[in-house]
Amino acid sequence: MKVLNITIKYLACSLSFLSLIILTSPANAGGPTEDLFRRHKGNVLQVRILDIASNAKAGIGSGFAVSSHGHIITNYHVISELVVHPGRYRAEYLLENGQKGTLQLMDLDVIHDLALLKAEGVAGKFLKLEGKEPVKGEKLFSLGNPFDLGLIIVEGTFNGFLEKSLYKKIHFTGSINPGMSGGPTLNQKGAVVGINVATAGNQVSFLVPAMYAIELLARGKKVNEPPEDFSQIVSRQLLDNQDSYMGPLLREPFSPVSIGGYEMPGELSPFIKCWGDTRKSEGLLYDQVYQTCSTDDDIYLSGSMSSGSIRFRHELFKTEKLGTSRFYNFLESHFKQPNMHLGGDEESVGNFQCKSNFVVHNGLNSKVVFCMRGYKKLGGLYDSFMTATTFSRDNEALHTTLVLSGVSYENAVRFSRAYMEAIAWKK
Amino acid sequence: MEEIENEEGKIYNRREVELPLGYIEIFSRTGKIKYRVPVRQLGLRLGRAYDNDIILDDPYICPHHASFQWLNGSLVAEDLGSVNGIFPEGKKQKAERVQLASGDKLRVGRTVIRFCGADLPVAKTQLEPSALSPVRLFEHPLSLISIYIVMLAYAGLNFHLDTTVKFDGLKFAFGMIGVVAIVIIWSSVWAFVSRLIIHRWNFFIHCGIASLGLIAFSLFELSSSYICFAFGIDGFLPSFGIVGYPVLTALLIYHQLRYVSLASPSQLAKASLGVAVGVVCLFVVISHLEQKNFNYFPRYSVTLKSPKFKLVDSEKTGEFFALSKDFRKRVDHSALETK
Repeated sequence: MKVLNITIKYLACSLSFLSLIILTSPANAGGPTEDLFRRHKGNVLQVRILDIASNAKAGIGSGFAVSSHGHIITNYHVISELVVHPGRYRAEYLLENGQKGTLQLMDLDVIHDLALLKAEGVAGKFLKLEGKEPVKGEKLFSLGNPFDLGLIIVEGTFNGFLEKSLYKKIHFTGSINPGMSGGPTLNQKGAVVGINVATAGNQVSFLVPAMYAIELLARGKKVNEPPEDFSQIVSRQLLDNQDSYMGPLLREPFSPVSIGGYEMPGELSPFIKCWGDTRKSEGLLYDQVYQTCSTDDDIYLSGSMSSGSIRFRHELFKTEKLGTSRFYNFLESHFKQPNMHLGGDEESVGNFQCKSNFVVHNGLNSKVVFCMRGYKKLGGLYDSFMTATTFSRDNEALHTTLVLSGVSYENAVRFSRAYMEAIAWKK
Repeated sequence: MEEIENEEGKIYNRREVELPLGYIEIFSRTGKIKYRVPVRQLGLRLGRAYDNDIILDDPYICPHHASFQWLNGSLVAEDLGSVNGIFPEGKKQKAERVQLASGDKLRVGRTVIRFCGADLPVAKTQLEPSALSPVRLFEHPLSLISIYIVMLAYAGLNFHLDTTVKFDGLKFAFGMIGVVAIVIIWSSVWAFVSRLIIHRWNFFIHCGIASLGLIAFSLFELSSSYICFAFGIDGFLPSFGIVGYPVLTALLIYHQLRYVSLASPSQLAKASLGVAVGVVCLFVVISHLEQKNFNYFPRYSVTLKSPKFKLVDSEKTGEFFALSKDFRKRVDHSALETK
């Protein structure tokens, strides 16, 4: 899923796709669309993130007024630089009529990619947030400022909610593009049903349901003095969120999937999807069956970092043609290379610290490496990496890797342990 | 004391007649002895002119610079009114006359000379390496050829162990050429240095040492990996390397130096040890920097062999995941660094 935040460096290349965007957008239907645009264009603004030192644009997105006191809703990922580097960036808005003013961050909902800001000099008219779910097939209208080209309206359809996602989102069939992030999607009555957030291309787009914006607004209205540093708020929200999905997962033993006589964790929950395949080729002296499972979505934290995901990969290797020494030589070199990475950068996370040993589980012998790293600014959050290879048999081995991002220390350890305990030999 | 008789029947002490009283050693700029001039009763004259006993091409030396006289059982150097003078060792003041005891040095122009009396003791005689010594092994064509064959066989075996696809002759050939090229390049450098210093190439000997070194490095890697697996101490693998590789490097360099320099084994050992210490420092600095720098991937050492090589018991999952306070401290500390 591609987040719609855009930076200036992308603008030049994106202009070349202008003709394509116009072609793929649904044709303007006339009447109601025109009317909606005319009535509500004044409530939609462009959110600009400016580098204080150079006063140049570092990123743009869209936003819209939701109260008569100048409260603005946009995406967290549009204004994330204000949170990640407080004091280095500032935010301002630009209205369709050319009016400019400063924006102040009041509150945020990092889990659902929302931020509440207050705009200086914007008061009066605002858009109503609609908590009621639209009907499947209902026409919706998305507004925003794609590629810094000016305010536009895009017509599309409501196609329900993403059913297998950890973070509830509306499936909107319409073409929303970079720069429209944080813009409103309206129903025919002109009420906001969702906030533009991401696209998968080919008119498959995603919106944050308006109910989260209603909750954020209610909370944010009470804020008089926003904090200078939002890190504590972000880490609290992330910790609560990981508890909400880790808790139910850890309550029950993991339901296993069976591959080649081994049992291992599979689709543990509807929000975890698995894909697999077999690798066999003429010249290769071993067979490989693999399955990769992951949560469908994650939480955007900064340009280099996302969080709140579970990913794991099983690889079953079998051989009749490689001798024991060659087979273990191959397994060892495979084991040495971590085949999943978690992103992040020096500013946000520490280096991994690891331990390894022989572990026996369900009668199987494995070599296990378990590593963790802590978040630097978001206290209490950790990423964990575990990789293990069974070596009970001379001609087959199961290699598995588990990666958890943005979890508490205790949950990382408990989940990794439960994961290892779910791996068994059943033949 | 041995005595000899001349044609007229006079008997002389052999030492008085034939043997010099000592030698004046002329040092090169690098501190090596360039040549020795015998000192006899009559004395010597030093300078750039061709009517001297000791002729030096040092532009800071006068045509007739200094003379050496044998007076009362010791050598006395005398300045013959030279422009730049003569200096006793370590002194910055010119001297008119300098009395030189056996072993004393004198600076003349930019050249250092030393007087060595006939009775100056010399270093202990070194034992020549026996035929069974590894140093001699490199000199026998048969043993050299055996080393080459073992190295090639070992490289081939390693290539075989590292592949997981059907045998490909071309890839195998390239792999072997790679190994041979490493040995040849490394040995060529040593051979070139040998040629410069002792005027012999010794190329095949250097190839033999390099081949044995390559096998030693590879066997060390293999054995330390098996030891770590057997005892479940994968975390110690880098420490094995930090100790083992510098020791092997020192041994390799020591043996190659023996065919490059005529210095004594103790001097060579000191030089090799210096290199080893340097390698250890380099290893430590690199591993420290790697720890400090941000890594996207976790860094861990791991070994995996057939279960029959495992000598320790496995932990239960509960025991493995009962992480120590120290582990958490390390994780939290790493996140605090450069905050």
